[in-house]
Amino acid sequence: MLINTGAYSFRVNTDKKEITPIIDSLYGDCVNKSDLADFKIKVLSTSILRRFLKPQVSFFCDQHTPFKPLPASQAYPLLEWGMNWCIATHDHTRLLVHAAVLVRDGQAIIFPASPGSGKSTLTAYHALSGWSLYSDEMAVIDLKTGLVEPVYRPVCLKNDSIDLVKKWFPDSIFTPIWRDTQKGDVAHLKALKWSEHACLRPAKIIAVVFPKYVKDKELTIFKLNQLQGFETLSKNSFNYSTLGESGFNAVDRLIRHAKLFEIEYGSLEDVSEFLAEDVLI
Amino acid sequence: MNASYVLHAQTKLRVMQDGSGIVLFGGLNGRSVFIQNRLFGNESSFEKFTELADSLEHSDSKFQIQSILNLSEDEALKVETWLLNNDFISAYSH
Amino acid sequence: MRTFCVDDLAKFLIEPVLMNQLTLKQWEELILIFRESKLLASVYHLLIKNDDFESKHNYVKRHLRSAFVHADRQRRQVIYECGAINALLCKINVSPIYLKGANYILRGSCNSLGRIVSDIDLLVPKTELDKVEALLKNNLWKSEVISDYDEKYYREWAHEIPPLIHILRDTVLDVHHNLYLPISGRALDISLFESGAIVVGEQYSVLNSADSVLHSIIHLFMNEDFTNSFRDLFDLSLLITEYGNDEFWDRLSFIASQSGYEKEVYYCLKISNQLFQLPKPLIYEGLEVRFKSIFTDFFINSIISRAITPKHTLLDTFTIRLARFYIFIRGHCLKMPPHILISHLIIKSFKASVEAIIGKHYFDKD
Repeated sequence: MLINTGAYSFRVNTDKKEITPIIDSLYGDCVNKSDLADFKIKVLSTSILRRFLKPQVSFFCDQHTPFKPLPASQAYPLLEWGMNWCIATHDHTRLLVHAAVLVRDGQAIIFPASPGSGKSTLTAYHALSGWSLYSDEMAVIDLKTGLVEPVYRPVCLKNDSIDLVKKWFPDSIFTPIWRDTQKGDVAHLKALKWSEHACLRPAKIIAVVFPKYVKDKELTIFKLNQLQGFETLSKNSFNYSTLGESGFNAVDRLIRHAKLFEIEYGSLEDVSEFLAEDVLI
Repeated sequence: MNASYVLHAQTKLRVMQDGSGIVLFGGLNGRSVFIQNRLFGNESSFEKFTELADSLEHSDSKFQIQSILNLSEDEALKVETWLLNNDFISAYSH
Repeated sequence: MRTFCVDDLAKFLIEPVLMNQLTLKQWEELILIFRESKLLASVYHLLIKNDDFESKHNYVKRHLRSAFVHADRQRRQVIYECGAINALLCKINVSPIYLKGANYILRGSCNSLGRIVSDIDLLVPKTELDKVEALLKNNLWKSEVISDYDEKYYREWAHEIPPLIHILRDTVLDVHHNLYLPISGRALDISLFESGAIVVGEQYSVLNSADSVLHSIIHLFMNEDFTNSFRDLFDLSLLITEYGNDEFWDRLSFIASQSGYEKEVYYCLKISNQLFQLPKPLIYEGLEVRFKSIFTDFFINSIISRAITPKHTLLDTFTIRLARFYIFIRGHCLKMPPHILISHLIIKSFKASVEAIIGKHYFDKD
């Protein structure tokens, strides 16, 4: 079957029949007729003995498996992580930053990922509150224009965030929860429909916000200087060093034209207000 | 030390407009280096920074970071030696 | 029904204009195959050279361009590393001779365009090996973690020390003291190659063009692993096309004869002519008289011609896999005397069986 994420497409093969309906629920509403794939990927059961005792699955990008196998119950998250790996390893025509991207009024804000940032919860909250989700995991930035492109992928939520988002947004569409992964409990949220995604256009990055979740903390905003912004963005980029000079130029252009912030927050409503009033132009 | 250097032909330099420092990209080794302006935030140093910063970006002019980045002599020596050993800059010849 | 076979791939490389006829579905497969064969960036360069790149669909351009960016980054890194290694080894008066991929990149040969180079190979005199290893290890290079058995294989039987990895940059360095395993009984008189070395880029020693070609021929036809063989043969046909003048052929004849690898030169010229239409040089006739037989014909036409197919599920057939298996056995037999080979294969196949049953990382050192 073919997974079309807009910017990238994947031809998927698996012997784990249970993940096919999951793929369909998240990506099945794509109406693009193209049958062309950027990557050929597989999620397959591993060795013979393993099929019976503690079954495992491996992810393949074409002929190779880049990761150690995982328990068979984690086949779906493995597929999603594998898709990220394929893009990050192979696409060197764009700058790829490990960050979420939210857009409103044609203005993009990117949220670089780091442990404890609460990035995915923040992304899910805003994606379901009127912001357009361009990506939960990877900012795909055109090297010539500096614009960020939308990618049709779900938001990956972990542990408590899963219940929180379900509570805040009872109509939200979730996959089942995968337990005990290396990131804890994990589930994927379908934050928008294909028809909504199809209307999204490459957007100008007007700000970079480094979030840090601190329980009960009143919103505290720090302006980052450009040197810090440059350094952190380059380190948060999957392919900065492969791109060489064009990566250097792309990050330079980004920090010249975007506001740079670090925020500590305890409430997503505060963040929402901050983004709408102090960040958006 | 008043040794003079120039940017290596394949090095690219960007001066941060807010005066926070400079970033160098080494075309030979593909690495990036981030050097802080020690007096970032100081009004008068910002004026001096912007004044001198333009000249830094030209590869044929002398590379002198001590005063622009407000480094101590020791720091400047360390930084220049490191940049030299890692092919970001080379000795200036008249 | 396979869409492509190895002959198609070879035709595309020697006549890139044929790729203008491909549908996007065919490109999808070809991109996977060329990427796996480490030739995707080379295809980019061929299309650029022919002024045929821009007219391609964006889908094709993106994948080719990505491959080019990656290969170019590697190329720059190789040049940088070789400079750093030269500067380091100069301290103990050792001037390493760069081999294979590093050789091609440093001399800027046609086949270096888009070439993927994962390791840096260099040759140093055996007498200097210990000093070189010690100096490298004192300067941020460390030994790759390998089993005790593999360590013994390298040091006692092979013509290289276990691979070294740079702690910060992750570059892999293979330090050789010969061009083929001493235990095989067919190691070369390395002084011949050392004395013929040339200097390129003002500071890098590399084998001269004929010796480089012979080294590549040995590496290809004596190997048990044909994974990169299609790329390696394409390398050879490009090198021969670029450097093949009278002086080159004289030197190649001489060095092949001195080293006892004339039959392998015959194999190379025959299969390159069949696959890549490389014109047969004057020396071919003499080699054919000596080496053509039912056996060598069978070897080239039935085994090599199949085993040279890039290893990919889109290309593999049963007979291709069989041919590859033949090469696997042959390569091992060539490398080691029987008593050593048997225990080597037992140990290796035991490991492989355990991994197949229990899982691939069972033997990983933690």
